[in-house]
Amino acid sequence: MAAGGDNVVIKDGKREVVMPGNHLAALAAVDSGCKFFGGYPITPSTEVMEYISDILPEVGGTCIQMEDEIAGVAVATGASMSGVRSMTATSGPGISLKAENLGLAQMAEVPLVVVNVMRGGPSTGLPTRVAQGDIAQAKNPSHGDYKSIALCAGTLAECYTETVRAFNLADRFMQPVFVLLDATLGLMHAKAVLPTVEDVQAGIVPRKKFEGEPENYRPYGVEQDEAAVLNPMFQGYRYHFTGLHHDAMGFPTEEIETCRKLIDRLFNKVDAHRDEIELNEEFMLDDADILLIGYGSASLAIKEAVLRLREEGIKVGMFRPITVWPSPEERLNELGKQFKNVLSIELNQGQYLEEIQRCMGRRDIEKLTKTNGRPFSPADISAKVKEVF
Amino acid sequence: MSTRTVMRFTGVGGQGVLLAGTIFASAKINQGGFGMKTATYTSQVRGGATVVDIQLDDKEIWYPYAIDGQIDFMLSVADVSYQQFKVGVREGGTIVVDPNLVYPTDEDRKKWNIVEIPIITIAKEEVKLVLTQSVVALAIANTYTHAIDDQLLVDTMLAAVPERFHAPNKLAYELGQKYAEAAMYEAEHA
Repeated sequence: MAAGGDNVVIKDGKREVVMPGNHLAALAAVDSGCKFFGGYPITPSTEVMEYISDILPEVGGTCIQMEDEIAGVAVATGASMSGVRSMTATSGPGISLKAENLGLAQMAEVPLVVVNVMRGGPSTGLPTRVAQGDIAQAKNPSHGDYKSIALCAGTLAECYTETVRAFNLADRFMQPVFVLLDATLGLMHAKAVLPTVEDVQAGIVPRKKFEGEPENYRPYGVEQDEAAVLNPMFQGYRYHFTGLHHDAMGFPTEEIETCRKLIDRLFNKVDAHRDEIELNEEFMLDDADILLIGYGSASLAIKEAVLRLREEGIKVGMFRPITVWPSPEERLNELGKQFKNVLSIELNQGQYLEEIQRCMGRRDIEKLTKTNGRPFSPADISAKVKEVF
Repeated sequence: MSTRTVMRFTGVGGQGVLLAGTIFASAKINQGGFGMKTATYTSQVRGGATVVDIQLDDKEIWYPYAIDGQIDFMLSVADVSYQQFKVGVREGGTIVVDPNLVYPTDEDRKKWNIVEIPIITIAKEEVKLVLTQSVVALAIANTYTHAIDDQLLVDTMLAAVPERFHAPNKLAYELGQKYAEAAMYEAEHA
């Protein structure tokens, strides 16, 4: 039986489910072949763990509530090192605690899906309220140089599909991948139309595996645009995990050229394949005079505002990055040339605005921000558009 | 023309008002339409103001929150949340309150159609199961809004409840309906 129970209806080759976003992320993990979840409950992400603790054991997986956030990500990383698909879920304060281990996973090239259901911050902030305050954190949660991949769901269905994509990208690029939800998406409860489990499973590409003689195995000795090839443990292929700079076998080294090439490769394995990662939505942009840029749950209010403004004859459209890191550099650059009037809309003080400015190569971008834990209403957006353009 | 029904249930954390919203949304989806429930609560586990927005439509709903001034119907079982969220109800809209727990002002009574039904007492003393208050509330809301076919709503509700609790929940629904109809009759004949 497909996980998800009685709420599932199959219609026209798709599944219709009625669930909150947090449950959809958990369901996506199970459908994607996740076999391990380690975490520690935190509002507003708790329902991810609550639901996966029900459905993961049904498919032979393991869910462990650890003693704290740090232990939660540590066991999830360990499970992934052994070769299985693994996930943890938390909110911003949890990411702060998990950061050290996320750095280890970046350096040792351990795939891991990390769901962050964003709430108001900094610190413990506004636990039950919505924010998009962890966008900058998702780019660099830990110290050092590496290239994050962060996907930001903007609809209920994307709470599912972006989690599926995160598992596939994590295994493809051998690194943690963030799935950013927020308190609005995580807790809203409605219908979502999803691909079937069969379609999801057909899209899974297993982690690369070295099949040659064990003595020829060099897990980190790969081309400069490739990810490490880490075979499952206990199958005769020996190597070493470390957070230190390491050689082709994973053993610590300070050799100048090896150290340079390692960090270059952590960047280049992502940068060279951005086309496999980038995903955007463009909503009513074709004939628009005004460009609104937003992501995540803010885009729900933006879409309503676009429709209302158009009823009043104001031609607006929306660009929404679904992959927020790496950012859609080239598309943003094109849009920056195409549109004079650009408004960036975020539930933070402008964490993505700086990236938009960089990609567009201009600073005259209007912004609408909010950090009081309340969502944007469509009226907030309409009013801002009328005020600044 | 908009076919959207917008409702708001408010209470305090722990009272179970969230459940009624889930049932409404699910029933509308079972009917082939679009239903959306969004809960907002405070960081207090018990006692903090809780609000559940419910939107039902034949067309797709994107924005998940009710827009202040567009709410047709509100139900409240706690004064703290009543005072905080009543402003969202459109003028002339209906607000059902538990008179033992919610204290509308005279001005409120001029602005909105305030209806007093002792929701918690009905659940506690007539159904003898306080947990069924959300089903009493569900029946009252549907009697006022006619949002969903009653049988479909009851079936959706029962599917979410363990079988041994079917009888008290059915009774709770019937009582909610009866009290709402009586209140409507009284208002018409006052």
